Amino acid sequence: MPSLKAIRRRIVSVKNTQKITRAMKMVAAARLRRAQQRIVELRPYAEKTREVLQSVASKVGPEAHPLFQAREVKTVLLLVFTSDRGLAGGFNSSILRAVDRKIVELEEAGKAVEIAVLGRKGRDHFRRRNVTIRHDLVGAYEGGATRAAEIARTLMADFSAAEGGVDEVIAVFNEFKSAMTQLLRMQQVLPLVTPAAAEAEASAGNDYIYEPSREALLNTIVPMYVEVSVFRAMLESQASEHGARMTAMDNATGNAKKMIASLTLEYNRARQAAITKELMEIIGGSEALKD
Amino acid sequence: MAEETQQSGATRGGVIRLEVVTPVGAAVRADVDQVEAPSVDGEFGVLPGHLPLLAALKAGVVRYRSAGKSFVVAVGPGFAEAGPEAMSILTDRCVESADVDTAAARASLDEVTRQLDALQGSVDSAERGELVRSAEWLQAQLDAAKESGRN
Repeated sequence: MPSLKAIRRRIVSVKNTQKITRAMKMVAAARLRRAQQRIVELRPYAEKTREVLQSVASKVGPEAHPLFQAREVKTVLLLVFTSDRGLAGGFNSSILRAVDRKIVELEEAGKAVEIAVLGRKGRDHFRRRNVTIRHDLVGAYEGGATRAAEIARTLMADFSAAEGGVDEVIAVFNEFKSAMTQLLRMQQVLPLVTPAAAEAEASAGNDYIYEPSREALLNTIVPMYVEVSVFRAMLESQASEHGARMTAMDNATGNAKKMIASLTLEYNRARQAAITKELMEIIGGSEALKD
Repeated sequence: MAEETQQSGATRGGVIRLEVVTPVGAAVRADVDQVEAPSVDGEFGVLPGHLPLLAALKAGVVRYRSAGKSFVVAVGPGFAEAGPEAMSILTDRCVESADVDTAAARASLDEVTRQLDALQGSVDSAERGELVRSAEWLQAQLDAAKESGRN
């Protein structure tokens, strides 16, 4: 049995850890509230943009815009959303594991894979591996919507490049469900996913009046949609990160509490044992003196 | 059932469900009698019963009448989707005329105009585009404020 002093030291140490995890939980909770509000506000805008884009796309067909056109895929760009900091439970590891699997899968299919990564954790992970980091986007979260739009423009340029570009862009991020749950999503960003032919047939009936023209409209909506998709993934990822960290830190605080309770029990037992032992010795000593 | 009544009445004296949506949430959500919005080709109006329309918007002023009152808001560039009984405006920003800080807007507009004048380089450089966009947005806010009777 460890000495009384050793147990006491451990209790103090665990208590300190608990203080830290509790503070981190509070901070994560505050950040989560803000991040959650932002993503909840953005979602209707993103959804509406998607709806309009889909309904236009179904009427005009894939020839109408270069970003609708799928081609033979030789190079895939994975846009990976991780966080700068750790201690967020399985937040980063689940995403990175999924990406690693996806890379293997794509490479086995004979495709080249390149990475665009947000968040220091992801960048460090890919640096250790033998993958091409095409865009290092660490620090992009702070840039907000403006930075998201820049990233979107970079992606579109990559996709449209005559050579040395990419043929497909897939975003990998955690979608925010609640503080407890995040949903891992792999979403094709480029080429834009347009409704299947059957659906297109059904809604082709009433075309819009376009002002000024269909082409001009597509040239407005398509880039806007790509921008908002990137921005949305960014906000989803941030809210998920804070949610994951809050949950992880809440668990850690709970575990520390349990540990303190069992250590305290052990401490009291050891103390009691020491007292009993001392008593026995005193009694033993006085018994010996009697005769 | 209510939907049906509304639709049949849409051609005469119905209402349009107007929604102005921005990345920071819905800025306007109202049942309105008419809407005017600034397309890139000029202003256009939408009454109930309008044919499906998709219009690209530039920064400007959106006017609408709801329950006998007129409202004026400034919107940034984006687009509008209109149908017989609903209209959505998607824009990166929107501010109500009453919330425009005219003094600040005018000051920034002067600043941006000065920068534009000082700017060298090609007409379609990204920097110039950025400045022109912010100038248009500031002008839209001032227009909205002016129209609602503030100066």
